[in-house]
Amino acid sequence: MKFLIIVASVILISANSVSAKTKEPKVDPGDPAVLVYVAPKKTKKKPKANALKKIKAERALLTEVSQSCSFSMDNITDQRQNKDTIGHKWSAPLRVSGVDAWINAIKKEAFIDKLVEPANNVTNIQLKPALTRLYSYAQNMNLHGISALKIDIFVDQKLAETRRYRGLGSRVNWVNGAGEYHAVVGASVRDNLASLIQDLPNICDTFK
Amino acid sequence: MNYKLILIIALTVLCQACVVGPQYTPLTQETKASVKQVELYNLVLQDEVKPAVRLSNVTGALGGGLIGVVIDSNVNKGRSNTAQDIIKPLYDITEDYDYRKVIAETYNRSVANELPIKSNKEIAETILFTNKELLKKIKSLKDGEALLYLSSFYLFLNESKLLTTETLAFLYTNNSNGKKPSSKAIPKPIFFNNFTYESKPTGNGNEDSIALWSKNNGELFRETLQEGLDFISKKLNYELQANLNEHCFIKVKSTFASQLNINTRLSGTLVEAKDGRNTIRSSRGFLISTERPYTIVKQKKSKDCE
Repeated sequence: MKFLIIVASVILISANSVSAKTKEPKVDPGDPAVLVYVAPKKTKKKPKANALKKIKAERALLTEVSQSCSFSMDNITDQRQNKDTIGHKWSAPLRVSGVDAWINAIKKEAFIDKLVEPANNVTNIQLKPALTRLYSYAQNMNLHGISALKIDIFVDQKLAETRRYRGLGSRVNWVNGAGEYHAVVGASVRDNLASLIQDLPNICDTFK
Repeated sequence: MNYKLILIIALTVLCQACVVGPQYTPLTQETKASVKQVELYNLVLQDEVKPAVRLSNVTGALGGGLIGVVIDSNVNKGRSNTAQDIIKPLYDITEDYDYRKVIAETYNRSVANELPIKSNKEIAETILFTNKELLKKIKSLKDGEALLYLSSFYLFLNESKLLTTETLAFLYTNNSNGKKPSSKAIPKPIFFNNFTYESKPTGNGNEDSIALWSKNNGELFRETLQEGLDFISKKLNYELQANLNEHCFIKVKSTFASQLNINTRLSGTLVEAKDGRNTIRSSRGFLISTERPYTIVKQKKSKDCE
């Protein structure tokens, strides 16, 4: 047993020494980290065939929807029960601040910027979203991020329906860094908004 | 392959061999008498119930190795995705349910029956103490003061047929066994135990079970969680009475569900059998409540038990 502990310690020490260049700055666990949205880098490379197919399909879907409905979306309000943390990494809580600005930056990039100019005389549908869950957790070698949105759908300024969407973001837990947990919750919000986009034709058909 | 990943994997495999959990520490009348005031820290880390995911363990089957870890990582990612889809109807319907409020209400009332509570909150905590923070908290306790640190979890197991609630309870003082705590290590608690409540099985698994848990605005889900908390708070009180006399209880064998094995072997003493539910003190001292049947282990009775 002692031998195993010694071996494990040696490995841990060597892991820390080789990672000196990439090591995260020491953050007091008492200080909340500010969530900052970093948009994916735009490259000159052509997207891969699958990704291109997905982009085209999404564009076609939004163009079709724009013929019958016009969508607008308010800022996402924060209605989480737990506004202190987005989980914990081993024995340290993951405290974050700046969730409002962070999530609305994602919303702009993943939803608003994708909307297509609507045709004339279409049904105006207003979406009022609220963030109800945002957390992450480690499971074996993976990290998972979860987000839940409650969306009130207003047609002609009257509440017509409330729908709920959930997003999951997963990745391999490489170094158990706070940035990795932030990344999976960000991915979960993008996944969430992608589900909403897929549901727009259904919303439009219901209320047009 | 990233060098750091290989090191982490090696460390994970090595640590599997040396993990030893905390040991059951019963509260004695003497130590209980020394406690005049208790600060309650009631922690719930989860924001909602964890879905049932049958974790792949190819690594274990292969006796370690990188290939197994990579397979497990990919398989578990896919399974988590599926589990999230299955549980979504329940999540949607229980969005208003605040487990932290329910647990605080139940435990505050219950603990106050046995210990003089100095402070408690209407809602459970979200912040996990780091070791440094916990040590600081313990060191700030005055003579006669204690910190009751409760940490609770709730999750679905066995394809969502079972809903399990678990609470770990630690009671710390600044003067453990007459010794002041050292500057670095967290002192041994004067009381520690682990309480588990396993629900009765519901449905045929996955979508079928989730549909039953979700019925009538999640009625069964909400009731079962409350039952689990009521059970644990009663048993916590039983332990905090510091008056245990289980010397003559019969030895039994049974099983219960854990994250790694839905039929984890359980051997210990039968503490209570009531309304088809059995409470067994495991060989490690933990209290587990299940509706699964048990078998009696033959043993010689001591004279005072006859």
